[in-house]
Amino acid sequence: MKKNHQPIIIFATLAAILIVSIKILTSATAAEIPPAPTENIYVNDYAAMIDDSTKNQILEIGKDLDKKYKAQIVVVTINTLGDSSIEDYANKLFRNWGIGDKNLNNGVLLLISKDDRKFRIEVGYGLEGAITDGYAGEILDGMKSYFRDENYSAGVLQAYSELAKKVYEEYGGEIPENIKVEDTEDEWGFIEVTLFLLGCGVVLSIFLQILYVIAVAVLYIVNVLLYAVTRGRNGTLSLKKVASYVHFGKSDFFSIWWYDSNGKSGGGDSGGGGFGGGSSGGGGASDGW
Amino acid sequence: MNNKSGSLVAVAAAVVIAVFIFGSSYNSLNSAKIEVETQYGQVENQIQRRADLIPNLVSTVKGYMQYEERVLTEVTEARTKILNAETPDAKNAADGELTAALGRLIAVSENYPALKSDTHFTELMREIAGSENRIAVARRDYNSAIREYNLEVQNFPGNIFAKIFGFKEMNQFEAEEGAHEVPQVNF
Repeated sequence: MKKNHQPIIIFATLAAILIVSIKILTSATAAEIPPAPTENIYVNDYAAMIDDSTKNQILEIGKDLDKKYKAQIVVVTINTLGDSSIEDYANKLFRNWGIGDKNLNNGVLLLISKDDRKFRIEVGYGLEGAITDGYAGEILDGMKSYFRDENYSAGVLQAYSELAKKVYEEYGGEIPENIKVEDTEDEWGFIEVTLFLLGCGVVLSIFLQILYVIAVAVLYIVNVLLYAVTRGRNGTLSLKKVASYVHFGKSDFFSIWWYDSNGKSGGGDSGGGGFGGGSSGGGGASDGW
Repeated sequence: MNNKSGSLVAVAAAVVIAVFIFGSSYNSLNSAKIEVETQYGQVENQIQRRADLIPNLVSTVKGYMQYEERVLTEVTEARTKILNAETPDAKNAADGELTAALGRLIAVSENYPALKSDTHFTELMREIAGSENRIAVARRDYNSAIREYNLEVQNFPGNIFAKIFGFKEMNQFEAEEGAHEVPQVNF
């Protein structure tokens, strides 16, 4: 009986292995495209063209769009395209990374190749109506003068803001105040203000924590002394009881800070947690400077 | 007794496995084929999209180019051919003609500075360049769908079932890569 089974089992196993290995072997591999980032996905400055304050502004806008509409606008700078055309490279990168939501396909890629002096805006299927090829071309036109002066950051920020504005309009949303087409370098952005307030909160709560610990310690020593002196009629040896006398700095303030910081990082993470799997059919425009 | 029921189970298992392989092979062959058809639909859509931009382009250009009737006629004729094409091959051939005619139009437009600074013309040329690229992408997707399908047909176990069910290999679209490159329009 066992002899009867063996060939079938062996055949079935072999067939399964074959089918699986064929599937693996025939899945396509892409060349030269950098792996998809998992952090700060909206700016990928491989050619080191963009300054930090611009990056932060872009990240702020990018996160907001992602959180509100699952739309993803992504900037990528590279040194060279190698043998590829910028259209091919942009399309492959767009699809490999999966920019935009999988179902809405609402991604936009601004690709800049430094040594080739070429750039391209590639628009996902879902935003082709909002960002027409003509509009994409106009945005690239607007970047040219900045790029010729090697003022890359300003050019990129301007383009990013214009793209973002169209996406907000597409979804009928309010355009946040931090999106300005002119530069906003010296002003305090939303991020800075938030971080400053958060920092103040942390410092204040740590200060209150320390005060709390000192207060409890002093009170406890007083109580222990009192207990010893009055032979247990007054005072207490229970730290818990002493701690309950002190109200400030304990849970209330600390919990507010805790809640805030948690809410903040939680929202940020889910907003920028990665690409959504969107695709593009080659819409957009290319140009050079 | 025990032996008999044992071999019965083995035969039943073999039948189940066979049906499973049969069914899943047919399904994967069929879905690969449907994918090819879908991708071809995309190619036609994008060809159509570009052709639809032509009348607008011609009427814009006419105001500036009095002496270039021939180029404009070529563009218009190529568009008509696309609209009337009945087979995929004819459509692709007509699309190639349109690409060539548009290339000549772009070359000629160099002589008309006023045309080149016309915002409507600029916009249209950008849309056309975008369309060109969409056609290229759609063709690439179409070819890779065909490649996937052909692999299914050629590889084991698909090759056996392809013969049984009558799935035949398909030819990829031979693009003269140069002919479908996006024309570079510099303003």
